[in-house]
Amino acid sequence: MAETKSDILQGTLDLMVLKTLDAMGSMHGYGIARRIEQLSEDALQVNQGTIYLCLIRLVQKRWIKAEWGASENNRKAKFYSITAKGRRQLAAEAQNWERISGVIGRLLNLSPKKA
Amino acid sequence: MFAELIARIQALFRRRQLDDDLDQELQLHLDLLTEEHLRRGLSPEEARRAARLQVGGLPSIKESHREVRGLPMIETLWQDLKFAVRLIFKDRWVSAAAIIALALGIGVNAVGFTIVNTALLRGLPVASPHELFTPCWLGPQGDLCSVSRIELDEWRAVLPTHSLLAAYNEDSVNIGDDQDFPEQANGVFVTSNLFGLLGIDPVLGRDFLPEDDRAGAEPVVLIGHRMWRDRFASDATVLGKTLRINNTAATIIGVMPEGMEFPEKHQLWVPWTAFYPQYAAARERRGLTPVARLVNKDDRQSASVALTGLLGQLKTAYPELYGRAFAVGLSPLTDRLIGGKTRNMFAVIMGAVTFVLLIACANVANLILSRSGHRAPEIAIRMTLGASRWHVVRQLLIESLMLAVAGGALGLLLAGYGVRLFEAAMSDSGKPYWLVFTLDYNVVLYVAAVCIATALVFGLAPALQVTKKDNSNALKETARGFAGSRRMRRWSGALVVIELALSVTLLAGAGLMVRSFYNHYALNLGFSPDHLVTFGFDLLDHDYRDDAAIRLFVGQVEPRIAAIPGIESAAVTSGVPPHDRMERMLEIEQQIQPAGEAPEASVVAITPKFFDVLGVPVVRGRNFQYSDSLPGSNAILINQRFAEQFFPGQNPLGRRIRFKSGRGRRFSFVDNGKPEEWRTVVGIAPTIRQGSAQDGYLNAVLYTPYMQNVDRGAYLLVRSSLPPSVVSDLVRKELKAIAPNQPLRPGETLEEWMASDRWPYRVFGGLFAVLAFVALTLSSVGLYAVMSYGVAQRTQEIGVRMAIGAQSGQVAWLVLRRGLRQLFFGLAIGLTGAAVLSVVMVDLLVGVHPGDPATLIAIAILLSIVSIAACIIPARRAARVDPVIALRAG
Repeated sequence: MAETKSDILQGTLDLMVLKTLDAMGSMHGYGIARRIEQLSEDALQVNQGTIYLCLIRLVQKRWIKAEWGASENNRKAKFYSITAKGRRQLAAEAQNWERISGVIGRLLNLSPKKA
Repeated sequence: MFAELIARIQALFRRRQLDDDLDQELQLHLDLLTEEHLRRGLSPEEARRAARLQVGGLPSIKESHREVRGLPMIETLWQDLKFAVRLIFKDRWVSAAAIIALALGIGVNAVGFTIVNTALLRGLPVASPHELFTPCWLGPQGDLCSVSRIELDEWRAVLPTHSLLAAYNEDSVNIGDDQDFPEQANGVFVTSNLFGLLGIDPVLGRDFLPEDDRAGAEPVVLIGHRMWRDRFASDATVLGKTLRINNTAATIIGVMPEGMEFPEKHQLWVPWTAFYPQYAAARERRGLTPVARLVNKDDRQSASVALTGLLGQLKTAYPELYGRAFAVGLSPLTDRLIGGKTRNMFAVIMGAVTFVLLIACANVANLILSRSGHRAPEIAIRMTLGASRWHVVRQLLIESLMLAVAGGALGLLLAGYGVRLFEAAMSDSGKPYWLVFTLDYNVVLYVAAVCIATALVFGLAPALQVTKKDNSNALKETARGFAGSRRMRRWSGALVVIELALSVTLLAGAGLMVRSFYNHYALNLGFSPDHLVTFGFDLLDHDYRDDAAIRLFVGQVEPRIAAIPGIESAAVTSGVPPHDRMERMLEIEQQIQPAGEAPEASVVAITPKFFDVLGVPVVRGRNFQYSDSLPGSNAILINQRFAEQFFPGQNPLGRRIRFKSGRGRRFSFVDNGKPEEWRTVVGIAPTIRQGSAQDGYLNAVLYTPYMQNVDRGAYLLVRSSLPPSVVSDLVRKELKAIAPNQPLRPGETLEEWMASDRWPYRVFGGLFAVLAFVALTLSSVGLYAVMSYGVAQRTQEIGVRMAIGAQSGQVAWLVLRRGLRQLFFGLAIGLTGAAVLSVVMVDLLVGVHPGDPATLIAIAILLSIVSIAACIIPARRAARVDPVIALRAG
């Protein structure tokens, strides 16, 4: 079902959005989506619309905050930036991620036992 | 977590703005992405397409956005509500009919509940009224709920130490003071701890102290707020003033709060022992009603055990006083104040209003069912598109709930009006002061619960029916196809049968009630109450010390009143019909009665003019003469009923009867075995009602000459064609001339005198008549609606039948037959229900047999006429269907 897919996605996407905002400062939704796409070198194919679901969720958790501002081409755009609470969450999530990816990496590197 | 929940709740209220924000963001995103693609060299058309593909489906993103940011459950609920409102307005006539039916059903239900709530749930306006009990002696022939002062003290000694026990005795008293005329008032003689036990404090002055309730104590009195206002002009310096109570000067020590008139409509409370020191040790003088505060079940249990144990000891010590009592039981004080019969009445009212509500529910269920015919295709589409059955059922139930809530709100308004009418009809009716019928939060809560329950009752079955999985071909069917389906018809037919059955049962119950009320109201008196006025008086102990003084007074009053121009005749009696003075056990010479079954009769003392004043002559033998007043005479009269009952087929004249000591019925376990002297029957009086107005029969009555059995409390009965107010003035003026200090109660015509007996019957009879009318209307309208809807649905079929040769009579019969079959089953089930109901109601009926065939047949005929009328109109419409038009319409 679609739900399980987005569950996996949700955690990762949250982490990616937080990290992006942490690194780049204030950005609007399109910018965040483009940035993630570039970094993943198009390995991740996501409906870009889903980024907004992630953003509203993070806003409601007070990990990021949103402000209206003007975009590059001078249009009204919502700019997101990470909060102190978000930074703490990011640190915790990043640590968690590294631990899990380390475990997964080691697991996958195990050579099959010869019978 | 918490912050997120708040944010989600806020999102519910900022929906419009958040949607707009998202639209703007997505639009910007699309524009920027399109520009990007343009820069890469795509054509504008291709760039837009690519951007859209990359962003994904906008509606689904918006939908997910709402779900993520808000509370999806509440939002869908809100949507269901909006949808339901839209549908309710779309089918506005059906909805209006449903809401009106529900409003009637819920409205009468709320009135019924208000009555029960006021009388039984809310109870007395005292602290924790449900902890208050009256201990009663239980005897073989009934309970005796009164004690003597010495018994009260003995009880108190054996009760659990933290339980409280008080007592009171209502009695009319003569009051007077230096400023105002003497008047007769309802007073209460109480133990000093009564108000402490009830938890009521005076608003002015102090409560009684234990030392006020002792022999030789300075007499003190507490007055009610109304008396303070009316007699003392709300004077704050009233404390310390004196009031003469039965000629004893008592000091006013306090004023009770407004509206406190315990136990019924009383305005004057005095300590019992200070006024009756001579009876403090009189064991047989049982005049006090005991009240105990027993907090929990254990206390009640141990109180009952302790008091019954004490009774055992008393039986050994005083066998003649306690011989036939076998236990002491506790009955709730509220029951005692309302009366057990009235309590049953409340249960019957509650049952009746529930029936009306069920009829309304069946009606509405049928409306919904017929409407869901229209909706079947739509629902089938929704379910095919993936809506779960639960979702559709929930949505339908929400719609039912909205109807129920609308009906409930309207019903509550109706109930408010109904309760006001009821209260107005009940005021001045002699009901206890604390029975004030008003809506309160309990009623509102009850109505809310009823709304939910009714929504389930009338909504669930149609909702489950229309969402059945095998509706697969509902998509293909037209609305008519489903509504006309066999299953639908069976359901709505069953509902009509239920409705008719409930109506028959309710109408039968109501009919029996109304008939007993009518019997009461007609109250076969045995004489005409016109032109009669009665005045009660209670001769002052002080001025009329002994029987001789009373005889002198009465011997003087009667001729002087009768001599007033315009007054035809006057008599003095101890009991004005339809009441008696007391019931006594008798012994008839040369008749042997089984032990414990002594004959009982009402006993009334009268002067010889009594029957002249009532306008009914003595039937056989002779009337009393003035010589019967002299010592040595032992003449009595009995009424015809007495003669039939105790001297069947014999000549009662010259037979001798004597009273057994002790009083009748309630006191019958007290029998100290000392009979009085024999009295001789000299005449047979006509049977007039002298007893309890509650009785469905006319009592056996024994009349004694008033002068032989003088009574301080008596009535002057006057016949005159003058207007009652003129008679009242004339009599009062004459009495003032004879005895200036003697108070006299205001004159009442016999009609007014009987009003206090009749009110429950008038009010409850009216209530039942209204309920029956509502039920009949609801069920006949329901039947009509279902029948005519059925004809409308079958127009095409009827058209086909007529096209292939059916006669219009046959078609009409086709429609009528269905209605008749439902009527038959409805009547059969309903009459069975009525038979069961009448067995339950047997105690409440007066002068009607529980299975009274006349009532049942009348109801069966009434309902048949109404139902057939409801069927005939649609049947005739069916018979006039033009086959060509009907077929074309299909």
